[in-house]
Amino acid sequence: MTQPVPPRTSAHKPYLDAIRATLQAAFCIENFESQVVERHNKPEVEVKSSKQLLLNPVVISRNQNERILIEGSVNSVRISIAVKQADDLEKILCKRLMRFMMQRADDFHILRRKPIPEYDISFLITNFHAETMYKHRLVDFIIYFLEEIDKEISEMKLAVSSRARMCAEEFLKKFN
Amino acid sequence: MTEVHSFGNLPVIAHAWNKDRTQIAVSLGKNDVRIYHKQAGKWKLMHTLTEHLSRVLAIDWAPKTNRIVSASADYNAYVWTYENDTWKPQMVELQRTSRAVCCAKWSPQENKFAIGSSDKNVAICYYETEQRFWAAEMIKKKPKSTVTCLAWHPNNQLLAVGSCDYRVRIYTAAVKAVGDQPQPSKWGNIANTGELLHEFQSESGWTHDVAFSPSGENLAWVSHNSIIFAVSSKDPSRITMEITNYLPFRCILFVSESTFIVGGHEFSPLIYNYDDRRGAIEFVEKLDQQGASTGRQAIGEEGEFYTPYQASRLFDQPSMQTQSPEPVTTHQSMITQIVPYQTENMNLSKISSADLFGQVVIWNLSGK
Repeated sequence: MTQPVPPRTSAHKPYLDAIRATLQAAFCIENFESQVVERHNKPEVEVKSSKQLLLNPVVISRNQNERILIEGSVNSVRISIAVKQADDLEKILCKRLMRFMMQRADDFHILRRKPIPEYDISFLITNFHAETMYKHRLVDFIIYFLEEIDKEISEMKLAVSSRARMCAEEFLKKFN
Repeated sequence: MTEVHSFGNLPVIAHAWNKDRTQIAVSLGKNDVRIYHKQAGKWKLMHTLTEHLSRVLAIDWAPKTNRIVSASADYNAYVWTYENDTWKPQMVELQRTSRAVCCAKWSPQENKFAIGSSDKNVAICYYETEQRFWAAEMIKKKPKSTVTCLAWHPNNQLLAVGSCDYRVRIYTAAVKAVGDQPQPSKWGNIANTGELLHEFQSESGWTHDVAFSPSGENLAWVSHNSIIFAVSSKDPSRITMEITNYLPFRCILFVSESTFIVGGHEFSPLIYNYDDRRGAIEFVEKLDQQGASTGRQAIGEEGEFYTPYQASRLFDQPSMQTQSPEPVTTHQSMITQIVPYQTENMNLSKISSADLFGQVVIWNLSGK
């Protein structure tokens, strides 16, 4: 396919800038041993053992269909993304693509195996990830992911439509 | 100006220097305390103190008596003494502590130390000479959440405790068994051990670190909502706040009576001045003078067209074109601890800071 992909319009920039600033603040996580169970070190945003260890969750949305939820805590951050799905074909493609990635969550390290309800994909980043990875690179990766997911789904939709058209042509030639 | 020491890629959770700064004890996120000795400009591993069963969270080295206290997530603390070329551990009898011990600090005269833990306990430990073990005296009015930081007052009898319930408290820590004579101090009268003298609130931010000034008159702490607080003993009801635009700080250290240094998620230590008469905290300067470089141009700026093939190749780039500026600071990660390194004429002239990527940097403060 040699059709060029148009670049991101500047309308998205405030949305991505807001996400970047929130992520940079939310990624200030550190090691924290569990207060509830001895010798355990759990991501507090998942366990929610005590209210004072959690930060306020933030939802940044462009419109009803495209949202991102950022929940922070003292030692972990959970980021959930709702991807734009305009029609049925995009819904199927999105679901397949997300499931493909979530099944390989172990290799991704920061991906969560199940998305939060009402969202399509979730990341869980703990202080142990922050100890081995650069924080600014993690933020860049999330932003990049957001931009690329839309592109990927549009490309796949084009590919599916053109393939369907070719198949239909070949099939209907028989009746010509 | 600045010396950078690297201990591999492991996070330096805690570090402490010995008296003449030739040895450093570090906790690299594992279950042991490693003591490195500087020989011919390189750090050699001299001793490994392995007694803990979980991550070592705090280390403090008493310079005069040459003892190390180490606190770990396996709810134990050990005091190590150097005898016959090895370090011998002795367990501290912490009754009723069933969660991780998060912080440990020797008192200025080094006859006792304080530890704080995840089960909201603060204990002051001293050596029972008759029965020859380290006994702990718990403070009864406990904080309501994990104790994250401790600081001793220079008079050896007051302790400031910061915790995750957004509060900083000052307790009395005079222990009769060690022969402390309760002295009057500007913060209040000291009668028994473990009395709560003052309680300050941080406005819904976890307290990350607390510090007394060298004379003990001023107390300052940093919390997770990027605010620096300071209070003076002359007027404990008036708390001075400085709301900063930086990412939260994790450590604070007084350099002189009115100047202190903070460091944390901002990757560079910053110097602030506290004027208790006017009640103001002013920013002085950033210790790391290198600015951030401008990031390389992001993908997809105006006028650029990429084919889908090119777009998919972008994932392979070793450094994805970053839109945020690459930090060119000396520290590439969060600063975990700032420890005094060298003192000259009652002021600190050098400090050392450790971060999560194995670096310990020594900063020269003279002339600031």
